[in-house]
Amino acid sequence: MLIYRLGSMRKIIWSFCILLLFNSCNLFSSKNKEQVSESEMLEHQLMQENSEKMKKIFFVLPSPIEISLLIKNSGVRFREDLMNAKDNLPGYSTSPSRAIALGVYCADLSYASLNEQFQISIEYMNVSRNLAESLGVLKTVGQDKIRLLESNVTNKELIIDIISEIYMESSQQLREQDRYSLAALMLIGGWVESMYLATQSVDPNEESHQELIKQILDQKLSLESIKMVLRENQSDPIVKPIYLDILQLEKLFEMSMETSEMQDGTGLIDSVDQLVFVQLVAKIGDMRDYLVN
Amino acid sequence: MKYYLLFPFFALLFSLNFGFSQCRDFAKEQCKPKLAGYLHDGNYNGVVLHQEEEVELHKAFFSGQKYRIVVAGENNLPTIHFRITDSDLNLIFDNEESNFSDYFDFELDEAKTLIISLDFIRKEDAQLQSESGCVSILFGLKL
Repeated sequence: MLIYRLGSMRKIIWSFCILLLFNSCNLFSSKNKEQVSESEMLEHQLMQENSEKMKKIFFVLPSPIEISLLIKNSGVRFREDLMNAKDNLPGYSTSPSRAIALGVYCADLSYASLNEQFQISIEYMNVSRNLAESLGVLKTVGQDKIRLLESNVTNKELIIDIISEIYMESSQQLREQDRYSLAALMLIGGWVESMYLATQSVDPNEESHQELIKQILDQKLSLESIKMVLRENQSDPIVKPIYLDILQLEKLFEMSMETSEMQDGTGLIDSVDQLVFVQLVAKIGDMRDYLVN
Repeated sequence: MKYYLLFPFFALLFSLNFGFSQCRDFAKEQCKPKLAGYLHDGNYNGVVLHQEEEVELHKAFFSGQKYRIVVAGENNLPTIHFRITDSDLNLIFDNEESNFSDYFDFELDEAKTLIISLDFIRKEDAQLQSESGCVSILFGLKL
C-alpha cells in the first residue's frame, strides 16, 4: 500500500500566501461591506478548491492468498518440489533477505494450505512466524488462534485466517517502524513466489491449463501497483535490480498476448504467443532465483 | 544536554505509533468480522482520514473469483460514501444507492483494475462528530 499526497503541502502554502495577500490588501483599502464579502467569498472558494484536492491514493498488490486461490481453482496439481525449501532458512541472515523470504514463505504457505497440505502448512507457518519475529515483527497471531489450531490442524479456513494475519501484521508493522523498503521487499517476494508457483504449474500445450495461463497473463494489471511500490524505494540497492526486472517483465506481458481477426471476420480474438509466454515463465524463474538465493 | 527537550519528540513518536496500531486493531476487530463468509486476503488498507480528505484505492481484481469489499470507519465518524469504478471511470457501485452499505459483493467477467474512492458525508450536526479517525478497506475472497 502506498500513499501519495498530491502536492498538497505546496498547494496549502500557496493558498495561504494568496489569502495573506488578499488580507493585506484589505488593510490598505477602504473597507466597504461589498469588498469584504467578495474577499470572504474568494477565501471560501480557495479553501474549498484546496480541500477538494486533498487526496490519498493507495496501490494494492494481490496477496499470495488471492493468487494461490486462483491456482487452486484452476485445478492444476499441487507440487511440493516448487516450494522454497525450509532448509534454506538459515541462509537468510540479513534483514532484506529475511523480508523477501517472509513474503516467499507466506506464498508457499498459502499454496500448501489451499491445497489441504496440512502438515506442510504447519511447518511453513512456524518458519514464517520465526522469520517475522527475527525481523522484529511481534504478535503476528493471537494465542487464542494458535490454541484453536493445535486442537484442529485440518481447519483450512483457520489456517488461511492465520496466514492473512501473519502477512498483514508483518507488512504493516514494518511500515509502522519506517522500514518501508523491507515491507516492499516482503510484498514483492510474495508476488514473485506466487507467480513462480503458477507459471511452473502450467504446460502451454495442455488444454486444461489454458484458464490458468489466462489468469497468469491477467496479472499484468498488478504491475502498475508493483511498480509504484518499488519506485518509492528505488534508492535501495536491493530494490533497484528488482524494479528493472519488473520493467522487463512488463514488456513480456505486453508481447505475450496477440490480437487477430477471427476466421469468419466477425471480430477480434486474443491468443497467447507461446514463444513469448515461455520467455515470461523463464524471466519469473530468474527473478525468483535471485530473490530466494 | 537538556534531555527534557526530547520529551515532545518521543511523545509525538509514541502517539504516531499508537495511532497506527489503533487503526490496525480497528481493522482487525471491527472491520474484519464484516467479511463473514469470505477469507481476508491479508492486505491491510487503513488510514487516519480527515473530513476534508478523500481516499482512492487502486487494485486489480480477477475473473472467476468472488470478492467482498468492506469499507468501515470508527463509530464517531460521519457516514462514509464510497464508489467503485473501473479504470475508465465507469461506475460499478455507489453505496449511496444502497443506503450507505459498508460492503459490496461482486464477481467480474474479466480481470479489471478497480478504483475505490471514498469520502465522508457532511451533515448539519457535524460538530458532534470527530474531525478525523480510522477508516479501513478490506478485501475478502470466497473459498
